[in-house]
Amino acid sequence: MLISESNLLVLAEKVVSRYVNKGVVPSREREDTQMIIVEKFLDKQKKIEDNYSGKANITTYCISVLNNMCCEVIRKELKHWKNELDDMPEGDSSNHYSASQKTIIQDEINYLDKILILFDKEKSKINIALSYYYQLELRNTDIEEYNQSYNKENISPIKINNDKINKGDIINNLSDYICQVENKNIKPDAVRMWLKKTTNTIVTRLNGPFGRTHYDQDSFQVLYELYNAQRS
Amino acid sequence: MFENGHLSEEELALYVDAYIAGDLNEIPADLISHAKNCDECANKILSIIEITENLSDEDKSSKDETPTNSKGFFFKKNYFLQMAASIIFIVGAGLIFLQIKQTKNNPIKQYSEVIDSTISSIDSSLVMPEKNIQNTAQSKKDSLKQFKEVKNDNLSNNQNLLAFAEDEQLEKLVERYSDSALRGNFSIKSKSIIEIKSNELLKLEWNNDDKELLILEFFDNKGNKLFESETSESLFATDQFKVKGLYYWKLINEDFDLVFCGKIIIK
Repeated sequence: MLISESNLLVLAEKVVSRYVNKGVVPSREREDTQMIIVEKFLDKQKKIEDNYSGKANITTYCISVLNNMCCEVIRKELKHWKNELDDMPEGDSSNHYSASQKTIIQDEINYLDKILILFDKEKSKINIALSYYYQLELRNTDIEEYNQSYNKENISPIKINNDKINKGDIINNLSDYICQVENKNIKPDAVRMWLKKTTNTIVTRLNGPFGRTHYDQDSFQVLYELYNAQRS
Repeated sequence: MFENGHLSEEELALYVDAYIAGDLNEIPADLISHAKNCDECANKILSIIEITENLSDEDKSSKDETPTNSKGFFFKKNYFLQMAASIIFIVGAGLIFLQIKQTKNNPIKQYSEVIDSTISSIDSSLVMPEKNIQNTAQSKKDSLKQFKEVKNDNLSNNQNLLAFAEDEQLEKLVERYSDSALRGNFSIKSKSIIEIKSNELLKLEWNNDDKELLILEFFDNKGNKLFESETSESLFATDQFKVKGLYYWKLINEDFDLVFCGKIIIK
């Protein structure tokens, strides 16, 4: 057997707790959801063991399996849970938030950092582009990493200290900078579209598949400003 | 490797293990690339990371059952072979692509070659055989004047050709928007290709009921931006286009989405 039953119960509890804490699974459904995914795991145990090749850590693999199962349950029940939540009287404590706003904001900043790490080597370029676009302080670490990834010495974007700078000029300057570092001929339109697409991807991942949050472009900018400020 | 176009559960776990170990270089490039571009897999990875990070050290060490290493060695060897094959393929594809690009015709270069050949043909056709030239100063002057007039005419024709030469990238954009497919609530009233005389006023119209701030950008036929303007209205007029030639214009909304791209021909 891949893992013991007691370990399976602990992992199932951890997986479901994550979605309870994010406000996706109502707290009263916690135990039921745990039991459902444990049963599913035991039913499909043979297939789960056969699919495991030993490359990944067993605990992480089991969490990955249980997470998928939990997501299936959520997809099936979410509409029903949401309807019930709408009918509930206000003031029902469902433990959606941690104790203070600072903790919530810090959690969001940490989550944004994880999302950016998934962009791998593009992370520094994205940070430079977003910081420049929002006219925030540029981080030397990002500039160094981006330059190094293209074997360039420290080329830095030109910072424009002008209150009336328009977005068109920002995109043009960003395009010039990227062309210098990457030694390519990239039009400002292409940079604009890339930045928009990347921002949309980040916002989609922040909001998650189950409507964890409802970020839009404006609220994302606020989060990014907080994230950038913390990186000094 | 991929199941239904997505990472398998073990591949997701592999990614997370490398993330937590702080070494994403351990992960195959195709996994990284997929996670970068696939929201579904990225969300799963993020969930597993959070769950795994929440496991206490005590929980983790008592749950870990170290897998045998027999498949590990084979996987590593296979991985390096795969990486080597990928690198060779990418370099080869890049070389082929460069070759294709170099041999592709450049329309501007073609036009300049036309000018060169035309000028040389003018020169040769206007050289009269010596026996036909009358030895008077006036006739020589007349010949020279005629030569210059013909040369200027032909030069001017070729300059006209250049002024109307199309820009490849902008032409693609114009084609994309030729049936007025636009974003949001906009619709364009002006035609995709506008032809006016050089002394006429250029008018561009669209529906902007929400009075959204729009940016107009104007380009010459080499893709150089000539000027830009902002407006919240539904109409823009300018008399700045006096020189004959081909121009392009773009309409951009306040989210910096390209809403429309059109052509202007000044006759």
